[in-house]
Amino acid sequence: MYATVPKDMPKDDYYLLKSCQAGSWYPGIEKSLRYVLSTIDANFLDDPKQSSCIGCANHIGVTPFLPIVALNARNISLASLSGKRNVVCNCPTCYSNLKDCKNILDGSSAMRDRALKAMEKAGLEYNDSITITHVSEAYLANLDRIKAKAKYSLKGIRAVTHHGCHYAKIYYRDVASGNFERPTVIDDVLSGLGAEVVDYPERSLCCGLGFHHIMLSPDYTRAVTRRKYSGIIEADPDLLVTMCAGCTLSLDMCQEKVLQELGHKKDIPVVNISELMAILLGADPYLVAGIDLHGVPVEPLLEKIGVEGTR
Amino acid sequence: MVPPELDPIDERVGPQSGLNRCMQCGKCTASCPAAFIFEGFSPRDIMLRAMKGEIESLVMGEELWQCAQCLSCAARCPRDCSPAGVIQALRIVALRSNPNIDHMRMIEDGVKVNLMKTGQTILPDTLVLPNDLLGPRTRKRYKASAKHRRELGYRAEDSRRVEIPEEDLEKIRILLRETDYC
Ligand code: SF4
Ligand code: SF4
Repeated sequence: MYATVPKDMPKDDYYLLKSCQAGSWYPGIEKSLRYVLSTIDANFLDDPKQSSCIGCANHIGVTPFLPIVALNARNISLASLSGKRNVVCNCPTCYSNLKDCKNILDGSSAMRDRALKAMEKAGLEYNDSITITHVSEAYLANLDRIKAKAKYSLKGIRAVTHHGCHYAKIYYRDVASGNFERPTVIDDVLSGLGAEVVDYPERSLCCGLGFHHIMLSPDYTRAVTRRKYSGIIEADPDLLVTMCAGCTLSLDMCQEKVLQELGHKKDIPVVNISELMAILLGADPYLVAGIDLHGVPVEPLLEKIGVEGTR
Repeated sequence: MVPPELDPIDERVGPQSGLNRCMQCGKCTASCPAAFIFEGFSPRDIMLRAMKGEIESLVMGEELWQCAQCLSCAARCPRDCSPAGVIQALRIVALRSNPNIDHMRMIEDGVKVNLMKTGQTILPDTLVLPNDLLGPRTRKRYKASAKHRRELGYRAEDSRRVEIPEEDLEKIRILLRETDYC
């Protein structure tokens, strides 16, 4: 077992690295993230110049690594020069992909030289003075500020969590709480806000998305979500909390059919950590968190928490 | 189609990959959700064949695309190898050398168009969920997603609320061209 290396979690001055998956499937996650950071008065920059990190195409295996490194050399430089040097990623794949690229760019290799040559051609200079964290780590670092401003608590809520594989299993030594087999970053945030976080078998299993699998080999998605939910229903939670738009998509959209097949009658709302934080801080669940975009209705959870004005 | 050869500058098949130290213990395969589901798929076997230099049979095979990139193999490997990284590098070789994977080349082209046009890899219409994964209520809610997207201030054609400024898109395009991508 690897010991967790304690790491400094920056509390402020964030450069928000937007995710094209979140923006495409659950824009409420991104809106919630901005809402949370503003509400707790954290300084952050939402820079329109930032490009996609190409992480998902990197894993699907349809984009070579060199252009990916070059585009992220630009993203890293933008953040470095912005004055907001703590890059906070909305997506675990952006998080690990950016770390991969930073490592290449800070080393010496033919890949690095070619990426920097392309930067030169574009009239850009490589500049790296950034830190890279996932947004769930930013919430953990700011738990006190969130608690101080929260309008609702999670008292009496049984929750299970799913940490993204690309958060826990690539830079496994960097997991901020717990370890890669059992990351507890979201768990800590939720229990800090009053929830009872419960374990379940298959906690570290993939969400079933597999990027192209959900479209081209749905048998994979079907089998994995079934295996995952077989474990989750043993814990009988009120809520499943994720940290990745892709995991949210797979676990949320496939749930109805899988639970039906497993003979489990109760819905389990699936929410991303940013959406949940925003709701607890008083955001409009529809117009900020975007809960209408979810496959499983989130209203039963909101009623339990005491949020008024649900449709 | 070009002959299947590993890219010498791709570090995922370099010393970090573990292709010089995999001991064939099988811990990766035991951890692998794809091996659990697809008969015959095994990251350990992929490592062995790659170490033996069987690049051609690997890039021609279907199994290369069965990996879900969960990275459990790399996280659990006692020798710090990354079958997942080796698979990523082999997929890029396969795109150039395997005539039977037009469906993957379609994704490749779609991503290129998205990146050149908007600086985004995924756009709202890039992924369409297959109907038979969804229950009836979910299907109905999923169908209404374009409308709810608009309510949040996001457009149907972009994953960004505020698009990347044109002069920055131009820089992005230069980077993609200068790395022989587009
Ligand atoms: S776990 Fe590592 S050493 Fe063992 S077979 Fe897999 S790649 Fe090789
Ligand atoms: S990354 Fe691929 S090969 Fe490795 S454990 Fe996950 S599915 Fe299996």
